Amino acid sequence: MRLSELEQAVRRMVGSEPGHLLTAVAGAEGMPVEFAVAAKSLGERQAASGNLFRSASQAWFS
Amino acid sequence: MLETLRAEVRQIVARYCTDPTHASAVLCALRAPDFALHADSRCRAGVLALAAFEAVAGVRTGPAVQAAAGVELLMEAGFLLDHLADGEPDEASELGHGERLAVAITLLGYGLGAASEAAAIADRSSTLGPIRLLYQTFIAACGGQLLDLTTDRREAPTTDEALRITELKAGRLGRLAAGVGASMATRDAETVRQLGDLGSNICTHAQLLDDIEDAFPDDLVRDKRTVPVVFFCGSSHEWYPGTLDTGPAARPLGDAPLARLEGAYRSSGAEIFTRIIAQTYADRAKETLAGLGTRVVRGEALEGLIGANLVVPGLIAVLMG
Repeated sequence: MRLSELEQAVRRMVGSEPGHLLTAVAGAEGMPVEFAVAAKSLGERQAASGNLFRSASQAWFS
Repeated sequence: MLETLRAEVRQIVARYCTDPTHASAVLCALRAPDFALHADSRCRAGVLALAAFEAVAGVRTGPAVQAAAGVELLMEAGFLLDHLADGEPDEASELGHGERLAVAITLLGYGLGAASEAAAIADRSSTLGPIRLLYQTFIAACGGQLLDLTTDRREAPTTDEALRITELKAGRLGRLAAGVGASMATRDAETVRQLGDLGSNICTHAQLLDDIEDAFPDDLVRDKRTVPVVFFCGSSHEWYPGTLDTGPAARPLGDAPLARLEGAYRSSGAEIFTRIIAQTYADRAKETLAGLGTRVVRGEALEGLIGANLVVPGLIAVLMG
């Protein structure tokens, strides 16, 4: 899993609101499929709950 | 499951450690926050190992509990060594640096000994597989720790390197836990491999989420080279690695610089960058779980463990038919 495409895409979009950034990452040309899929599903979650950084997993793991 | 594991940990300490002072120091360390015998600890490695065993075997056995407790003690040893390597003070157990090092080495002995013994007394004709897997994966996790420390001394690690360290440390521990649990239950190499993959992805995902939580201010101030910290430092010359006053003798940052650091960090994209990567590991875990299919005969424990974290509700029920 190389991070360069994802890293560049996120850096290009710094300052955007999360939903917009995730949409841009998901649709970025040359973005590895795994990251595009992840960004898309996070974007959907963001749209539904407005909360990206608190998840059920943290209740168990952290 | 947690209380069962904690009781087993206490028994292992009593059985392997005959000197009361030694046992007392170990128990003291294990009662500190985040360690196995603290009331709020989650014993994630031991729970994962036991859940993997139960998923494949369909039952819980004494040797499986012992092996899971052994895996948990290995993780505790690594945790303690990590604290020592990072120069973190111990405010809870009141043990000195050297004493904590002795306790960490003791925990390694407990973990490897207890898990190996459990594999040997399990009702199986061959115990070589679980024991070999235990040592191989443990040594690989040590390699992750070494790489972590080596990278900490470098000027500017890349995000790829930071992620590789996360995989080597947290991922290998997850593979160790789930793989040892599964190998106690079956000799089918493919099942063991897939559960190891599942454990690796679960723990890498969890570690990345933890790293997002811990980045500000702790990891940034301590200059820990986690994925979000490395991403942030790559976008900021002001906060480039090593420019902060860190280490045991460091002066605390004042309120104004701290607020400036937080503003710069929050707007850097580091959190969302790491969150996307974490999600890919969650997606991989879901795929691996789907691939296990009927190899899992009793999924309640895994369902309890994973269902709340990674899997959409009902997915395991669908898989279990």
